[in-house]
Amino acid sequence: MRNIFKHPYLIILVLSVAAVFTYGILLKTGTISTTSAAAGNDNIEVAVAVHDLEARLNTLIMKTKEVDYSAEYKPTEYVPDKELAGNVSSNDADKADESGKTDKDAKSDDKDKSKDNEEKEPVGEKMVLAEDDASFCGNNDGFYQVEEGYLTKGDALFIGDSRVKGFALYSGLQGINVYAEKGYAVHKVFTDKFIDTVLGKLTLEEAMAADTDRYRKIYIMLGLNEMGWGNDEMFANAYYRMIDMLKYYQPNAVIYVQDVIHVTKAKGESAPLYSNANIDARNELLKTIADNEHVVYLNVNQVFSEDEGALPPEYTSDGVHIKQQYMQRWVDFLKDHAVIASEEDKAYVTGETVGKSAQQADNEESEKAAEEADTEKQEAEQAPAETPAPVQPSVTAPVTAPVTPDPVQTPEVPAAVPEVPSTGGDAGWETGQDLK
Amino acid sequence: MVFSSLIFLFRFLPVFLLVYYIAPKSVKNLVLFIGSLIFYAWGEPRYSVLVLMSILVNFYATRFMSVYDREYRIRERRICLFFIIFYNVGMLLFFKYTGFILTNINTFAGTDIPVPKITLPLGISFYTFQIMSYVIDVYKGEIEVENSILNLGTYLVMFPQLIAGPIVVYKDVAAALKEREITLQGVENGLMTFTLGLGSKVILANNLGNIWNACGEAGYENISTLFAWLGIAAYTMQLYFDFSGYSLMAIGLGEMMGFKFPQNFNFPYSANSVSEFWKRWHMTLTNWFRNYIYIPLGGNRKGAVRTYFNMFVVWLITGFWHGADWNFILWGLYYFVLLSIERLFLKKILDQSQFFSRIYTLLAVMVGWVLFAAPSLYEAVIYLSRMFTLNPGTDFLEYARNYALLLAGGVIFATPVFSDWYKKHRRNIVVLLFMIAVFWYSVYLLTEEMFNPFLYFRF
Repeated sequence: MRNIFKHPYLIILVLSVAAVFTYGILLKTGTISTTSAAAGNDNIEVAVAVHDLEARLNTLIMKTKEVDYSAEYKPTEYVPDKELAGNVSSNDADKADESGKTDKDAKSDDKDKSKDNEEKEPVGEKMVLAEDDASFCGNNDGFYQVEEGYLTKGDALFIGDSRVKGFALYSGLQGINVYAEKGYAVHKVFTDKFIDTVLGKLTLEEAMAADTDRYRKIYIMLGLNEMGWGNDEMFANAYYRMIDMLKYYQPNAVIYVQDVIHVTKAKGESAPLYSNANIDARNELLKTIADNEHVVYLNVNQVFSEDEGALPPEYTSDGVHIKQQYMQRWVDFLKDHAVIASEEDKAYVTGETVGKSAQQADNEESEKAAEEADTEKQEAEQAPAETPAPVQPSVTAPVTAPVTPDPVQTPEVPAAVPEVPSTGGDAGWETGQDLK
Repeated sequence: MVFSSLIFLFRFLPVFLLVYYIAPKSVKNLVLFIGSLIFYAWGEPRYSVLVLMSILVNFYATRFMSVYDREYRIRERRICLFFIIFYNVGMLLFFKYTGFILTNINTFAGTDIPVPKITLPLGISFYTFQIMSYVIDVYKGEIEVENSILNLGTYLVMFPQLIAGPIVVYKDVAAALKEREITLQGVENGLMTFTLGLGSKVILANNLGNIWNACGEAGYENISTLFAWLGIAAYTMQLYFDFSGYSLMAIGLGEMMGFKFPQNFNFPYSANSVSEFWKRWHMTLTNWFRNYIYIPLGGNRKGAVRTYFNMFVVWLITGFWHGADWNFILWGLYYFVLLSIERLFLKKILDQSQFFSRIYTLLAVMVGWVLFAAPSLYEAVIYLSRMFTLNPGTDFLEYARNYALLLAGGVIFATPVFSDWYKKHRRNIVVLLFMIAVFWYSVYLLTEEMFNPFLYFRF
């Protein structure tokens, strides 16, 4: 037995495995309490123990923050370094001076701007969207067709997962800002430090706070990676929180919620969790969220679903990501569905302008009669409003109470609806639309 | 079951080793045999029948063959050998190549034969070659026929080398099957070798794979020239660490049980010609092809034309053995062309510069891996066109930055630098700590993978 000490590696390995194994047994039998949900079932003891030890180590070095999954957004006390702010992104276009402003300034600033916008409506004929286009434009007055400059002038931000990253790399658009990474998901917005800046690695929230009021349009495409996370309610809550956060730091930005692009039929079959049926359900939810937040909803799938509601195989290399030669469809779609919220952007409007979605137009027609009867009542309600009734609120308007005027909007997620203090009797979406 | 899984490391292996070490010498082979069958049947029990059939058929048929006298009953022996090989190759062809053959008949002849979906039996390419080495060696009279079906069965199914090699030929382990010694030193050495293999696979190969996968996700048509090169460089390392890591784990496990398996990789990427590359890459397979196909065909002793023809046959089969698709066949023939050119004149030129010959070898091998790794011939051509035309882009930047450390580590571990140091200071405390860290970090990564199944399935 004495020569066993000549074999230190053997001894240490056997003993350490035995120790970790025992620890795992104790965790599984509940002798030692654990925060890890992994214990208790059929998992390998050593794995349970390693997982638990990792969690303990993380709490010890304070690596894990407590994650808030409620829908309501409370701004983190994050004071950007004034000297550095504005230089955060590499291709910073302008507005370095504005980023110094406090959020309150920015907000009031925005209100003035939105009033300005009302007065000067962009010129051009309005066109009704194709019937299969489910896009809608929130509080804005319709979609316009724009030149590429609208996207590339430096104030557009794209947030998303690897597909958005692919868009950034292979769409050929220069000068867009992209915060996207593989596996990015809406529940990582406040925790995942993946944005490389001169301030170090930042979360999306920190990056937004460091660059306040820099962006004028924010395109989001998230929802695919979250299929393996939480449930619809958690997803919706996280999404509301993200939008509220973006509105808070980027008050003058038009927020575009893009639907999740389909996968190919084959991919959906091999990975049922990411099936097109699940994606469609998620997109319905996104529609509801965009609707409740009064932001723009873009039905990008309209140009990517020729294969009976699935992504055609020739469009993609792996069933999920879009090939370069088909990326232009996405760009063109965005160019056909631009919302004009500032005077500057009007310059990019090309000859034709595109109107509201057919669906919305229909809704308006049918609802008009019913709502006309209600108008008196509504006007009475709106009397104490701070803002005049015929306001066309910008996207930054405080979120109103959850009203879904659109009967097509399916499933309501009651718990997911943000409880936001309603600022007086702010004109709801339906009235804003009605009065146009 | 695979070696780099928690269930193998912490359920199967400890229990098996305990029983194996406690068992008296006379039943150790039985323990190994039964343990290996459990290991094999874990995921897919159906095809265990195939392995057992292979043992029965080959054991009895070879005994039958050896009844005939070597000197006077040559024809009978030949017929026996022919039937045994027909059975083994037939099984392999049927289970591995039916789909490929029928699809191609349909394409070229315009017929519409339904193509059955046959799942490939685990390890069939490997154990078929192993058992054939036994049969052919008995035929040639190089070894005695095995009298114990348990010993032959143990040889064929022993779990360290059953699924993915190294291709251990029977005569290498015949003595150990009858009598072998297990020492603490051997167990510890085996454990260290196993740990190195585990680290190769889990820490290096699995992570390097992300870069190559990213190229696939982006679509070969899209990627920039530099990303294409980065991708194939990463794949070059990934494949090496994956495969050589598996071989190391197998060799280590064998050592822990008292066997000595042959070395399978000898720093192939530091070779200075393609012919040398193949003497260092998957050495047991190269040896098998040389001993059981190339030399029986006449090798290089029957004139120049015949030599090149023999090489052509060997490399055609080598390519086809690696996978049932055209790009594997082309990959094999690619090496036939390269080796022929080297044999004709290039070797003399290469010998003049160690540096340039290594660069040439590495480039040639990387181009080969494109053929090997692309999902189809068409995709391979696209990938190669991205590598050799100018396609500017910044898509590689993120991966180059995030994986810089891993890539550098890959280079170090793929060259003899680490190995030399490790062999010299085996008893050093630094090596000891390094090995413990490698083991537990690998376990940690496997745990992560288990608790975050979406880690490897996300977009």
